[in-house]
Amino acid sequence: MVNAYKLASVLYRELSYQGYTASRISGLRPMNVRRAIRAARYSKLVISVLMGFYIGLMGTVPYVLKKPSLSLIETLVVSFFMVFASSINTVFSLQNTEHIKGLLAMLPLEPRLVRRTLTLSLYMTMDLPIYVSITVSTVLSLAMGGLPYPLIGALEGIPLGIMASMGFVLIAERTLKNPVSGSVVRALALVPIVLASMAMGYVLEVNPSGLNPALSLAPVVSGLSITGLGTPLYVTVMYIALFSALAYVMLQRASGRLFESTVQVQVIRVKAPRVFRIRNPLMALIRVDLTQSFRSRMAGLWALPIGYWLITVLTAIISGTKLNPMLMLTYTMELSLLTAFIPYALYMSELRGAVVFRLLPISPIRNLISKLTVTLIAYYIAVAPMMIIALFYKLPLSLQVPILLAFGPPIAATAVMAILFEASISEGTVSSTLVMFIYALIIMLVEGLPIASLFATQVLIGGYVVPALVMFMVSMIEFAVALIILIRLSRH
Amino acid sequence: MGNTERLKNEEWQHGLMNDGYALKVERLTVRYGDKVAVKGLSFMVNNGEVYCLLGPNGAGKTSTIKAILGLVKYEGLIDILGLGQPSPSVMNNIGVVMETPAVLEALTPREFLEFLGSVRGIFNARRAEALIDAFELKEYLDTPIAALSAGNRQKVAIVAALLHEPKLLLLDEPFNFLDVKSVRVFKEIMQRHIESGGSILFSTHIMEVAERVCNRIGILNEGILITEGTPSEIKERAKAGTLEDAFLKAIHADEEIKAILEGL
Repeated sequence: MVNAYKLASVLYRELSYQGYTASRISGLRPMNVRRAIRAARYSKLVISVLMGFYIGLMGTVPYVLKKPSLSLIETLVVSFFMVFASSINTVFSLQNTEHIKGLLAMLPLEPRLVRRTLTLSLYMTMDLPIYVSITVSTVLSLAMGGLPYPLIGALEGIPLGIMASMGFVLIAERTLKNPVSGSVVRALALVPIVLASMAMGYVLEVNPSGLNPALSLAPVVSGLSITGLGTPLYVTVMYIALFSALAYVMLQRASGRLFESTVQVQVIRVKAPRVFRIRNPLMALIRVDLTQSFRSRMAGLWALPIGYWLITVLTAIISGTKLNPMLMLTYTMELSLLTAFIPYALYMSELRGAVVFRLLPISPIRNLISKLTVTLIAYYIAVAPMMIIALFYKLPLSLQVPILLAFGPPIAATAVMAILFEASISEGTVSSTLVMFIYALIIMLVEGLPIASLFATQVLIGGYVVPALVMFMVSMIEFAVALIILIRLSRH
Repeated sequence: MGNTERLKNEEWQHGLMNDGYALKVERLTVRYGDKVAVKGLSFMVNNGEVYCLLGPNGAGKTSTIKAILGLVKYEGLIDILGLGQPSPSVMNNIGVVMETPAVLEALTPREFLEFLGSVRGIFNARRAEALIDAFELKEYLDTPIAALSAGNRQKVAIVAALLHEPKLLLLDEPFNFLDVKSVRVFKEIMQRHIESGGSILFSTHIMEVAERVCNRIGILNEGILITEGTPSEIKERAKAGTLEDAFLKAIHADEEIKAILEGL
């Protein structure tokens, strides 16, 4: 008798290999299959452990702030993030896997067993984050003296994460016929991740006791009203059961669809013939950078700085918050931090075609200049409305100096990103999911130092001009050091 | 003649003067962790010849090509067209077709070719159109490469490799995914490339192709060059009627195959 679990374990190894190959920096097939599978597992383990630590941290903050029920939202958001982020990459890469269903079809297996095997193997791609999330939130609940909020948050966040990622798979399957809308759906998959990241910060502003009592029956929010055995608890348990059932159904449907749709439809869009346009090398590089990043999953990162002032500044104005210079300075620094994700998006979308770039006369410095140009343009497009708002609200004119100079940190981050990119394509063997995670942390550190120096100087001597100059100098030192390392690296 | 073109010709002349070789590899070793994929390999591709690296799967052919392109770390010496080791400045003189098509999948073939032409500073529109017609890519020019079939992706990679009229072609299993007609067209293009003084390093495990298109063959097994010569020299040395027999003898697989067949 063939066991679905054993069969799924074998299939999972294949999925790990396919997922790893698809996410591989060089885009080339790994030489050592065992090592590739091990690397995929290791990558999943490291990310799960890091995220587990993050759940612990974010779940504890509301307790420390004496708003323990909010840890439900924090653990929900982080669990959602963990499950969604860990599964979406793998399942999208599997859309190009044509042979798995065919392989199973050749074996003498019951269709029901095949369906169960496929569902189980797809579940295995996200099992570890689920176990980590449940374990950490249970420990957190026990540590809080039996308060159920973190555990409930995880139990709701996990099925929601599965539903979201499987929903994207089902939509993406429909849009596969059109490569452009397919790319858009893939790019949109970044939105839940971005929204989840942003939500973590805003959750702490919520006052649970001030919520409308009618909301105690609403999904997710019902858990905040739990004080013991009673309606909110029963309603919450019902929602957990409902979400879990829906997640299972969607997982089953998505796995069937994912492995069934093996026929790639080739769409031909014939346009009127036109001549080839040859550009200046730098312009060509900038154009390809923009095209690739907009058509990749990284496209959503562009929305961060551009949409930031809409979310924060306009929200502040609408809600009647007085725009003081310090608040504006904080907004500017946050915008500067977000702009650093533009070169991150550019370099990351380039990793898949890294071999092509290696075969062209493009030096790392020229590549860097292209990214710097795009980053600078993006920064000033994003910051221009903030400058106008600052003038409109008659904030001190000296405040314009930090707004003008805060391009320094993203510039330094771009140069550091160039080093990381060069190192990665030389190595060519690291799973890109893990690399992306580590890079994001490094970029935040590089950005953080000049921004911290600005606030430190502001506290020590006040004003805006000198702190802005200090921040600019620190970021330029970072940039110069990174540039020297990059030049040395390119000589080798 | 543009500056880039003039520079390219001067570089090529320098390569021609350099003992008449297009590629020189000496004591090349490539490691992947503990595994040694290529062990002290030395060979030379002369101007105007097709040199074939022949070997079973995992023999080190692809690793050798990756090392020549600087895509993997290596020990030993590599001299491309007398210009030295792989570097951005050398790349304008090389055309590469990899085992897996090296293309930017987010772009359309038109955008990809425009990008290559712009970055290299070399673009002959007439040649581009001729190659596109030859490989029947015209109707796919504005379709994202990611949406193309494997065969059409390979054709885009081939056009990209030939577009800038490189002096040296590095071809790693270039006929993968191609239909019969495209294989014939590509073979003809290779022939013309050689006749005009260009050189080709060709990696394959298909004997028939190697025998037909290669001037000299180097047989690789487990990362070591076990024999080298023209197809007829290799056959003579092995006292074999066909290149396939000679190859199997060279890698000591003939007896193994006999034993396998007897066991069936």
